[in-house]
Amino acid sequence: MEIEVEGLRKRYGPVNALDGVSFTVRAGMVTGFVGPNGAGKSTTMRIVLGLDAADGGRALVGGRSYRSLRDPLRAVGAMLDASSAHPGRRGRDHLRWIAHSAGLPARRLDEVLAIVGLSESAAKRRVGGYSLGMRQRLGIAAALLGDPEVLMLDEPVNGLDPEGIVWIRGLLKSLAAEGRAVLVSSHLMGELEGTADRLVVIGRGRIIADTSVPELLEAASGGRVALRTSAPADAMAVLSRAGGTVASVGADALTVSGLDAQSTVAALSAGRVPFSEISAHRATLEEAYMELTRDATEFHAQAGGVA
Amino acid sequence: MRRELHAEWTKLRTVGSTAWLLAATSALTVLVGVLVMAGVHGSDGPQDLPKLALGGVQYGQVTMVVLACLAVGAEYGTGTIGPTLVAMPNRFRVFAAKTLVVAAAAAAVGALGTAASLVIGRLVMSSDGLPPLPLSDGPTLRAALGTVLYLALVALLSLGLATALRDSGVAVITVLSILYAMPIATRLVSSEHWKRRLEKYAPMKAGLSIQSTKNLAALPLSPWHGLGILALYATACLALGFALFRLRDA
Amino acid sequence: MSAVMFRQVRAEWTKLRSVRRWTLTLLAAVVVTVLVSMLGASGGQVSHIGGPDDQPPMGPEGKRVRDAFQFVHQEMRGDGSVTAHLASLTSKVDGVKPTEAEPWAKAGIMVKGSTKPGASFVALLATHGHGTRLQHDFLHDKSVRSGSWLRLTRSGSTFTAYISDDGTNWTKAGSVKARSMPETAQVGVYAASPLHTEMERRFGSTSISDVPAHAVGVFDHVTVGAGSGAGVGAGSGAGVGAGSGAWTKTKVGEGPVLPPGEGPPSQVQDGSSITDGTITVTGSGEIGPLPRGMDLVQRSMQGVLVGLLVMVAVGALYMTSEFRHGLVRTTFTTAPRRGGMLAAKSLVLGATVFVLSAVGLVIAFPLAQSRMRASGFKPPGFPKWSLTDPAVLRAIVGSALLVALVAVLALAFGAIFRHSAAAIAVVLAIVLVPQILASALPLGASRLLLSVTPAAGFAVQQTGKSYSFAPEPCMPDDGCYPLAPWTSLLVPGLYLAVALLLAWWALRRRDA
Repeated sequence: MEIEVEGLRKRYGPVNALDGVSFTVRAGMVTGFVGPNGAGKSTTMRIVLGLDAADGGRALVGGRSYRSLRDPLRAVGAMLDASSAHPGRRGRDHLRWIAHSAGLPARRLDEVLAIVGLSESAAKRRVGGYSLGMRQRLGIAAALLGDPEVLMLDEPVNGLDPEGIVWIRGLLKSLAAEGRAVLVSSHLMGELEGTADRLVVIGRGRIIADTSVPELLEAASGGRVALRTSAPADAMAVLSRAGGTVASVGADALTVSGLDAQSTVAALSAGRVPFSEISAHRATLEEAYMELTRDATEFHAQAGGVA
Repeated sequence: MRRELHAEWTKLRTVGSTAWLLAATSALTVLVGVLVMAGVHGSDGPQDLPKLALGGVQYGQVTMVVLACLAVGAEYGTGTIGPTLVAMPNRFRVFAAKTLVVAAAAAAVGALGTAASLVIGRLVMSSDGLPPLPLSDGPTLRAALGTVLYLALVALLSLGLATALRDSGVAVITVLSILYAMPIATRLVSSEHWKRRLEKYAPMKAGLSIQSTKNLAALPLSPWHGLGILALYATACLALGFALFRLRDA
Repeated sequence: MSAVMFRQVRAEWTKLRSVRRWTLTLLAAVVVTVLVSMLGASGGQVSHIGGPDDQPPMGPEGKRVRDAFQFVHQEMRGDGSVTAHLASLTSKVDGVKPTEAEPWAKAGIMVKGSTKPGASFVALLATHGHGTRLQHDFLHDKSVRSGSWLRLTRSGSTFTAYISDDGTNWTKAGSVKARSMPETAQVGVYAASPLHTEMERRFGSTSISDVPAHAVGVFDHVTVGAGSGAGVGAGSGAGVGAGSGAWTKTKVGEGPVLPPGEGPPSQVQDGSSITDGTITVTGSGEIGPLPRGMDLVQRSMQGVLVGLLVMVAVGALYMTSEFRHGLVRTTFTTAPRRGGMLAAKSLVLGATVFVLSAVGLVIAFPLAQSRMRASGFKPPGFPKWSLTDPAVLRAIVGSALLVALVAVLALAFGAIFRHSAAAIAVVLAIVLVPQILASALPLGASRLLLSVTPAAGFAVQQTGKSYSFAPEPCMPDDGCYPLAPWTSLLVPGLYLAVALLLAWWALRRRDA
């Protein structure tokens, strides 16, 4: 079962939240859905789930619209907002009514509670007394209740402790390995590093990239060279003359583009500029993401060291 | 539909405030009714005893209104509307299930409060110069059944408005204003014509005419006609609530 | 105000005005206040506008008054005195309950400028249920010690009352100045009784019926003495039937008229008889101020109740939204003094609501008044009220204060419950429900309810002055609240003080 999103549009008053969003979430892999806050990730997920109506385009789950699914919880498990539970209700009761809505047996409650690691005593407490991490686990438990073929989790890492982050990465991978389609959103690319097989990057309501992780890194690295030198000013002058574009990334660190490593060494040696370290630059996922979303960020940092 | 009903029923009963509010509804109804009955004397002249005994519902309904408003308002307040519609995407069935569950809860506590009001009211009544409170004659049964229906209709009116307003606090104030402030405001209307008309068709007053067992000719609306007016209000509110629920984003 | 407090107030003000929904709701409250006030005032017809002849008589102080009684009198020139022994006073009520008596049935001695209704008078009288009293010029009344012998002496415009148990030992009971007593006055004995109000309240319905009532006074040893020397000491002057003047029997003014067809014709007739030194006077009527009638000021402010409901919603949400969205953590981090937050919020909300309500009423009042005048509520039958009348200003300022108090009360309950539905339900239960209950409960209980719940504050809108000696039924059904205007605001004020204390305690004690 897949999620297919095609040409989604949505306006909120003057704000164009989605402006023709299309992508596919395939079975058997984790798809990361990344973009800055306000880029349209949650809106897209809400439209897929039939909570909000799109102004244009369509979103299908297994070829059908969500609202026409006969047994929605067995098809799709979703967690949109971890705090979406009544604080006056016990955790177990929150799962119970969802199970009833899908005609699921009571033993399924114990199974999902075990999967997400919520203890029996925690499940008997009222949600109002939960920590953010516990709510997150409860939300994931609710998503897993129907043993769905498709999982959609909106920012599942929020509020989890380091141990919880490791756990959820493992969980997502194992769910994908079982042949399910998993869509995970995040506003931090780093959270998805090592987890996501594919990435859909969204910014200002448009898809910026829809690619595999290695492809994205390749594109972002762009054959740049990183070097350290005790005389950055001289190095910049020499390398620019040689035809490279130089950027300072630290007190004694530079990146050069337009020259390969060999030509860089040659140019520096010829100009008698001392250097200590030189390597082909490998972009991190974070950098690649920054690069992609630079123009798409709604809230630009006003000041800061990044030139 | 069975699943939706099951889920909505679980949702309602697993929130701590539900039991309190239901108990308070019954208790207030009985308490006020019994206090009034204990104070009736033969010297006050002929009285509509069943109406007096059941009058407590005017106060018991406050907690019922709060319950019905919370049943849907809290979904928006706490965000459970998301999981609800993810689990049950058919909005008509969710809304219908909620309506049925809330109406059933209201009718159940209404029946309990009505029966207890009549029985205890009969026991505490002073015997001087007063006939005993009839419990099983036609008009009393109509008043009793009507009171149960009244409470359920008030709950549905609240549910409909709360769905339209999506906020339990705002909904509570709106419903209580419609029920209570309207009669207070109309009290001061200078035009007799409008005053009578407003009083006649105010939801609470109209609905409560079902409680009358005597002197029916003097009523502005006959008992069932009055309850029918309240049912119209409730239906209109439910229709408005559902229309908005259906059209709006969750 | 300390700098910290000032910053907190500014922060809370920003919070209030920056939520568009609240700003709109607050403005909507003003609009609603104006609209409902206008709607409430429109319609309605004055059922009968009398010509000048039908006007009630004008009293000596320039106010219209009621003046009707049975008078047996003779002329007295200049200074002098009148003395009488009141042998018995009986109240006869034509009602369904023959055991009842009218407590304000009265008989006594009187000096009156003329028999024309509205003329200045001084009277010393006994009542059926309210003891012996000294009254003059319609608006003044004083309770004095009891005794069956009554005497009034005139010296210029000063009248002194004496009371005795045996006709020999007199004690001075008080003295008053009559405003415009002519040189030649009518003196004698009189009897009067207002209509008796029978009230039956059942659950949900009230029936008030006014039934005719008469007072029968039996007097002997009635003497009128001329001259300034006639003071303490019995006997000088004319006895009954003997001496200076012959008695005239006059029915002064029009007695209370019942609407036609209402109640049975009275079995008792007004009249008087003089036999063997005994004067029996049977009279009906009332001597005193006009009844308050419709309170045009209160009726021009019906929007207040509806505006109040809207303000309650804003007040509760203004506080509970802090908890709902976790904003309170930000608030307490930036300003750790939690009591300060409560004070600042209360101040900001109270001031805002007060100003908005006052503005709404200042707009609404003239509009409502002009509509009422258009439907016939205008001089001379009804007083003309304008914004600058002290009573109107009091009603407007008081109403705005009341709305502000109740809105802050909702805020305090919001801090206690942290739940808007609960806070709103409780506030409405103590402000709105008592008014509903009041028209259903027995009169005593309903007056109590409207004196001890915050709903009591609505009394601040009432402008009619009430006189204890000319009681009128204060029916909650007609919008009458039992407390005095300004005092009534103390009740919601007290509730607010307690609620704020609880809120302060809850905020300090509980985790954010």
